[in-house]
Amino acid sequence: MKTLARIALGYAAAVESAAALVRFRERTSAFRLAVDRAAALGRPLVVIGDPDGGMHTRLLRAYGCGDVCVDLSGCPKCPVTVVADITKGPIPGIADDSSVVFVSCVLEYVTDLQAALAEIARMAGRPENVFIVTVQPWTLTARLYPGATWRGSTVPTAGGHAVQMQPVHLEEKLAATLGLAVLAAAAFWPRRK
Amino acid sequence: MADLETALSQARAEAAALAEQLRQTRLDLHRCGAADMNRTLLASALSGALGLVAGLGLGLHMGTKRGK
Repeated sequence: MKTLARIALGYAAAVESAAALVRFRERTSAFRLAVDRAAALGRPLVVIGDPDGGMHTRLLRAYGCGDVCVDLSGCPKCPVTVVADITKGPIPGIADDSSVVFVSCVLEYVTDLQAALAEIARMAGRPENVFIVTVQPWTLTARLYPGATWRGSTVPTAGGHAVQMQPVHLEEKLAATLGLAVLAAAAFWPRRK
Repeated sequence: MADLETALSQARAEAAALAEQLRQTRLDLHRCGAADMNRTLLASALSGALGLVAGLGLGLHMGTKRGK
């Protein structure tokens, strides 16, 4: 039983790590494309979300600061940063249809998803100017990362792409936590002598 | 001279349109690639789990049989 639980835990950890790696690669590649697009259009690149704010990206950056970095608590290591909440109306200093917007793993943690999407659309003007990377919705990270409120992904549509998110319910979080706790207990519970 | 300038401006416009198309294609490629990568990861995670369960089940079953 102990061995089985350990195998299951190890397997879950391996899958989550692989998902994190894929996400890292996706962020890097999307950021490169966003930089190219901003340069080609002569627009500033607005990065939403501190590039040093995540658990993994604190160790190794997946993307840069862009021309302006917007975050709820600022981007301390970026040269130009705006402290703002994207769900609370227009971000100061960024006009309508003026930028290329890069959003990486931020939408999952906002309280008002529609307001955040509206603000992104306002700044970017067109869907082609928006680059969004999300946490894979099927991972444990999408459910258990502190503050996770939404999970979902971007899907290609005829006019570009659309964001499809669904709320992370408390029951889901509890079930995932309980499952992991049971596995961990079964794997590491000390044997009676 | 006027013809040359018209041709030049036309060529510029075409180059800009082609560059835009190229950027869009690269973006589409990136989106498809990312979606494919995630699908592959999910499929491999599920099939890996299934394989692991089947392997362990088979191993345990064989072990029990041999024990008898």
